[in-house]
Amino acid sequence: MTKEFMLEKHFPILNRKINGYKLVYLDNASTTQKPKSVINAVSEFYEQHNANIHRGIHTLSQEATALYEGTRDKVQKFIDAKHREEIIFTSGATEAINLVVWAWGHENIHAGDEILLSQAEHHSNLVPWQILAKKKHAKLKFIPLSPTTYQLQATSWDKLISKKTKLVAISHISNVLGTINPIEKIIRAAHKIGAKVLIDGAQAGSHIPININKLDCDFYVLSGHKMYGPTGVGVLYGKKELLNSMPPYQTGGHMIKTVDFDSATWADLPHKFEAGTANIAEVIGFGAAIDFLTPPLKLRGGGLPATLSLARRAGEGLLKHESALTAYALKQLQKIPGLEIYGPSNNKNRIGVISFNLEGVPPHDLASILDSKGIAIRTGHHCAMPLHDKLGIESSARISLAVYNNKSDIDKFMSALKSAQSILSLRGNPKQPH
Amino acid sequence: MTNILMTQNYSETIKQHYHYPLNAGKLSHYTHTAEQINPLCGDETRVYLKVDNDVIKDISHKTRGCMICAAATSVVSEYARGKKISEIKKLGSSDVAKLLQVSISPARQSCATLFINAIKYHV
Repeated sequence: MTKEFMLEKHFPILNRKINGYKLVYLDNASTTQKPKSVINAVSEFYEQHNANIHRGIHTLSQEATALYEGTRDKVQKFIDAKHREEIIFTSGATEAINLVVWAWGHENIHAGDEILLSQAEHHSNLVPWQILAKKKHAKLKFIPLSPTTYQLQATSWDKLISKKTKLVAISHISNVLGTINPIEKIIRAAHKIGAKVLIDGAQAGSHIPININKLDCDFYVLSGHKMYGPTGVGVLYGKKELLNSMPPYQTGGHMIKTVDFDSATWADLPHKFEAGTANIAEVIGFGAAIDFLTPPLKLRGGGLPATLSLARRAGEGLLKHESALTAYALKQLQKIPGLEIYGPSNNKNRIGVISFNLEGVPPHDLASILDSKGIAIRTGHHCAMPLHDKLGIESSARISLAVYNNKSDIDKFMSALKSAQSILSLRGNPKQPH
Repeated sequence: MTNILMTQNYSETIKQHYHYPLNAGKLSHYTHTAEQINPLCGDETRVYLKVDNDVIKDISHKTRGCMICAAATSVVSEYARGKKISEIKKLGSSDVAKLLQVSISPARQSCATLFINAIKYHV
């Protein structure tokens, strides 16, 4: 494993004590903690540059606009998109998907068409498609999971894709199983029959390199707060010709070119899809998060040490650290009898999102006991109820790793897990309560 | 919350109610039934009541959930026997805490009151 870096210095919240214990934060798939550089970027905007964007001649408005549009350029570079106007800022990954459902789906999905998803999708990449399918009398189909490897069954998707398939919407990485889906193959298969592809990259942004140019997907969504950025920011990448063909999603201020009493014309990309006043400070904070993740090294700005920065070459830097930590966590968990992991048991084609159940230890009760020792995990269905039904369980516990987690965090978690097992076990002879 | 408090909160009583819940199952004859689900965690309960003149003559439940939810359902179902529905509808998490003799954190109150809420809002 890479040398333990003192990343607590960069993340103020990691120095907090919870119930008398130093915080061990293992709920990163839900939201990540923010480095000082991101927090400072947001505060600094409000302290020094706050104004509305794209509207004013005055200095503050020009500064705010430059910072906001500067983030757009950073995102374009981060995911290797061809054009900056292909980067649309939304309030999050959920809104980004809804934008595609309503602005593209409504015009292009018709009765009898099929939309292909997987059995492991987050509700945000399932429910909007359900609503669209009902409205347009289209059909949803689901790529099944292998019961042994938890990967999408490659043999199945070839049978599921047909002339009727108009759209494939798949997560890049599962927020429950941690699996990295073979999206390159899926995109090629979909494009062969003329279907469009949306990739939900909410879990991918801070863990693996994303190369839109190479992927050639039609839409890709990112979640800002899951990649060390503020809440309230997401990204929709869309191919320029597609975005140009789509009507706006929300209408009103900022997204117009001309307006008279009876009609309006729309602004060019990307502004056509950014109605109203954006979450300006948050977008700028998101830009600082991308700086944090991107080489070259920006330690003065609070960036990652070079060996931990998000390198485009797989197997280096951040990937190495998280991969090694994931392998360590899996190895420790597998030592516990009665513990079932939902997802691959090794760290190939997966990231450090590990959902599990332990016999005799209901997840919520486990979470309470861990919280009493300062350890934050997630329990429940993780916004993937159909997946839990498919797995035959009501709920699960989940740990999810980030760049600031280390071996000591895993060791503390394992010790607390064993302690919880002991606290929750029924002692002595079972007897009827009176 | 300290570790000692956690151990106290998961008393043998709570664990026994979880493993051996009182009034589990479906009544063969009931006058009222209601369901409550907590969408955040997946806890769910269905209550069956035999009511005569507002008094709960018989009660049972089918519950899937965490230890707090299951134990709360077990004790409240037993407490409710012979009481008026209107009285049970007034119960809250502090009453559950008294019945279980534990403290219930704000995070777990929805678990503790799932059964009460099934009766309160759907009967």
